[in-house]
Amino acid sequence: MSGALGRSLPGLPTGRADWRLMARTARLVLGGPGYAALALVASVAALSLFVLSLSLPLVEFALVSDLALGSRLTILVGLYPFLGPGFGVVQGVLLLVVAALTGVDVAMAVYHVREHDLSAGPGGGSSAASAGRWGRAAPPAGRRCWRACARCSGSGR
Amino acid sequence: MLVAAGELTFVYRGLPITYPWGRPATQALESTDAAVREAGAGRDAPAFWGLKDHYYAEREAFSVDNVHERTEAYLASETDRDAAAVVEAAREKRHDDQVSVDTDAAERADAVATPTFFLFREGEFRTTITGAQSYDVFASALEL
Repeated sequence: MSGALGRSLPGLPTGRADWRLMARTARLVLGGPGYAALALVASVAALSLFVLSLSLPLVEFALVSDLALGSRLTILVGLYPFLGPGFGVVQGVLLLVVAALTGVDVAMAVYHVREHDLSAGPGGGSSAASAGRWGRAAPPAGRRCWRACARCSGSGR
Repeated sequence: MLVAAGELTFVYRGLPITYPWGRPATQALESTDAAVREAGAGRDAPAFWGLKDHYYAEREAFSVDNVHERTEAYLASETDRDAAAVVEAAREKRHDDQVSVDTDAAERADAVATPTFFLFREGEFRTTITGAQSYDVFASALEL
């Protein structure tokens, strides 16, 4: 089934090898402290954007009103899953998983752009446009290779 | 409905927009409140708040078809109200005007979700809280 799906969707990961390669790539990218920190920051940002957007009037009140710092923090922290009652266990876990995946995705996209010397300029290809080439471009001369892409690891599709 | 007057006042308005059985349930709440007041009981009489909590706790078990029966069963077993009379009033929608007063107020206040809390301190509006939040969030926002 995955083979037929892979043939109909040639640009998408559909097979077990694809998922193993993605997991290995993510693990290697996140093995770099800078990319791990970036993933963490992006995850927190993604989670914050979602939960805070659900209570904008309260967030605005906490940020701009004449409250003590402790009260501001109590209000804002209470909006997050497992720190406040706004989300159930399943909702909270799903939110954290989505936020974590977003962080990993951002870190991998930044890695791809930086290590493969891509830019948003003419001819350079944006990260979105180059997503289809993931794993097919070698790092430019003089740049460190994390051996995270398919070409470097010799397991290209 | 005022449930306490002092340092903190909580005013409750029913907004039956979540479940199809919400309107008849809110009518039953208003009929319960009317029965409590006619009996001369205090505003903190447990029948109203107990029934409201019962609706929330057992919401998955309620439907348009059984809301009156389950309401009567709860009032008869858990309160000293005349359950049959309260439910009869609810069936006849005797207090539907009060329900409409609350829904109209919610519409004017742009309350489109439940629960929505409008927080005031010393007569001045502070902020709006939507959804379940902890006591600490309310206490911090109101500087209690």
